[in-house]
Amino acid sequence: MQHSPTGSLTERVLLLLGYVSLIGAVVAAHSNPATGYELSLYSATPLLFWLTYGFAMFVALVVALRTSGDWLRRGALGLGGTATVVFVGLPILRGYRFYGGGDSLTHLGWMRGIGSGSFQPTELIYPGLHTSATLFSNTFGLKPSHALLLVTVVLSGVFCVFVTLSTSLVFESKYTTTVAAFSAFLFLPITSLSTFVFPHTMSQAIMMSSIALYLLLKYVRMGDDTRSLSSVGAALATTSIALVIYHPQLVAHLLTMFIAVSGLQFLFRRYRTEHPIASHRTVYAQSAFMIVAFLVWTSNHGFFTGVIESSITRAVDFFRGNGSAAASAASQGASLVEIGGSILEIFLKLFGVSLLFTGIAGLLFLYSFWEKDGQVTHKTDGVLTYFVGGLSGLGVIFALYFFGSVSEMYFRVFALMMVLVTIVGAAAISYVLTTLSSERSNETLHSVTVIGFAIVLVLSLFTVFPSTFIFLPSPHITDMSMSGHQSAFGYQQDGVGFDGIRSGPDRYADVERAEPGRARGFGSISGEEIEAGIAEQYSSPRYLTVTRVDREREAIAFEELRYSRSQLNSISAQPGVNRVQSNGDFELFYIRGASE
Amino acid sequence: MFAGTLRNSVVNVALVLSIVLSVAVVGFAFAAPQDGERYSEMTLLTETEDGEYVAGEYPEVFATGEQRDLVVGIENNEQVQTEYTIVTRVERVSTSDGSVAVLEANEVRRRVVTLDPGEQWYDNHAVTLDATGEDLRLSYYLYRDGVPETVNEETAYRHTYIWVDVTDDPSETSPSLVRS
Repeated sequence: MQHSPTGSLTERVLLLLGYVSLIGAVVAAHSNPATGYELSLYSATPLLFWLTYGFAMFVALVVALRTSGDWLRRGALGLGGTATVVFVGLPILRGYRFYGGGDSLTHLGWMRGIGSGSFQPTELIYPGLHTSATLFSNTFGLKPSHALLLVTVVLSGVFCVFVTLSTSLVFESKYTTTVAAFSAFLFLPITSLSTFVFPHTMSQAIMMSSIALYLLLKYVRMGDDTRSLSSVGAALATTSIALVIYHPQLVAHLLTMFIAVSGLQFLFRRYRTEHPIASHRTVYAQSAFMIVAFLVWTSNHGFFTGVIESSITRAVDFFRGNGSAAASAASQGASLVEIGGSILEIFLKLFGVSLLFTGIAGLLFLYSFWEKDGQVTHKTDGVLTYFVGGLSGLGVIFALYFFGSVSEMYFRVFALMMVLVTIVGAAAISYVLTTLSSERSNETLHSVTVIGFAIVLVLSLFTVFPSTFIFLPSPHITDMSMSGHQSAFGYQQDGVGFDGIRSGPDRYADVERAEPGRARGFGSISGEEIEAGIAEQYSSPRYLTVTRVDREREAIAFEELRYSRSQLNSISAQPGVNRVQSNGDFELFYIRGASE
Repeated sequence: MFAGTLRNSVVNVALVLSIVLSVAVVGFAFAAPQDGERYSEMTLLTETEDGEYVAGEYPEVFATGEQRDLVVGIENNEQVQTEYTIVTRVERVSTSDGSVAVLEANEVRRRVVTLDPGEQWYDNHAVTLDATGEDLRLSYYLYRDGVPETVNEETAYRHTYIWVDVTDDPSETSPSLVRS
């Protein structure tokens, strides 16, 4: 133990400064709330926040890696964890009315419906997020939108905690906790393509799946202490039920891991009795329980069997040569290129760090297969094999979705795979650090690790929130937009429907309706139609909503791909198109409709 | 030796305090975020026979001198008491090349009102127009704290409007509108 009092004192002072810096970051974010729509959360948040938050993360990383004191390391990881929660919670701290367009707004509407008792949670396929948020809302007396955002932040925290704990069960060393925690802080499963930090049931279910993975690892590695065994078993079974309610489709994906583990256990017990897996506790019953929970819940909702059937049919179609996967991928690529991003650029921005971790995890797998003395297998108690099995199974599902082109579902599988990759990647890095620390100078080793993590943290955290960096508009919902839509629906004339730019305001209608299902009857008007004369497009009156989000998204984020600035500006120069509501971010036009 | 112990204790206490304080600050910031948006909402409405306000049934054709009813709604979300002025004008405009140029404008009405934070207010009023023409713009400009000399879209805080035709011939004031 190099427990020199001065060295330790320096670390403590450093940690103290880190915490003070974090307080500064929170104050900077909290005292500069958004005053209107922000196209990029990154550039709109004060620089002072980024400096103080960055310093806090840096201190956390340095102290956690270097210190020999256990409680000081916990203090440092606590700092890193709190800073990460602050980062993920920026939309709340910056006073955003809500964060998340599209599905998130519909979820908010459903949550309001459940909260007001207008329908039962069981009417939804995945009410877990909504009921948790309702509980938060009622317990702490928060607005539904605020509570829903808080739940997503809490689940991001849960993800960090359980990924860290899981990694320690794969490979334990003095570096594991630190490396695993900072690997979790990268949020590799969040791609902003189909998994998000804002309310989105699948994304939060993926965050939550880290609990199941931890309990799975804990369970298989447990001894014969029946009391703690039954408590872990009960916790795992409860988590299975919770996950089914959060998102059954995630459970269908997660089952791949459980079935792979069960299968491997069966094979190793039979043919390789000397392997550590042969002495693991079997998860047959737990897997069966998860299957039953899944089947019982989904038997009332036909959706998932539908997804499975259609993806298989479409994958088969693809191999017969009449599929659409390649076409869909190509058209998405084309849109990106048109707005100035190259496929390679966007791919590296979004998946660079994930790729790196996958590579590191892959190397550890290969090494464990080829090593002669079985060191890695021994030190990891054989669980790496489970990860190989689980990832291979998920790879098959990924391919099935990809070739079946089922509405980008493959990114959902990819996100779950990234949870596993984060754990194995962190274990691999810890393994390398432990091996090298006995041979090399710790100073160099720590410096390289700090620099490495600093780089991947910046790269990865830059894509956590959608922004112009990855050619996406921010899903910031302003109070102006929310209350503007609310008034528009409130003053709606009977029989006059709504259209919008790119899509109608149906998501806002979902918030108002607060009923299961989706609001219908909304449409959009194209740039060309605006140019040709809006009133001429309609034979009867219609409303048109135009928000600042629409203008900034189309003109800046999407670089006038579908609507040009002049087209959007010309709306106010068209007789017969009355501007009847305006609040700064939201405008409502009343289109008279051309007469015969 | 003693100084070292003392220094150690001070740092330890300070560290523990900073941790406790940061948890409190983070907790508070998450529980009570600030609302940074300050805005006012202006709506142009009509009143139905049942006394409800609706964004529709706007007059399309005025006969000169004819009185038509309209409602302006204002909601104060400025978080402070605010004095508003509504300036109503009828404007002859040209709308070539996707932009609007005001050629001629007559002020029809001006109304001042002070609203408390969160207050919503409706101004039921009648409009009479004299100058005839097609595709005239009946504009409502909203100002805070006084009106500048030039009233237009650039100086206004909010701007709503409806397009109307004004005719000398009362028989043309049917709801259907003929345009070329």
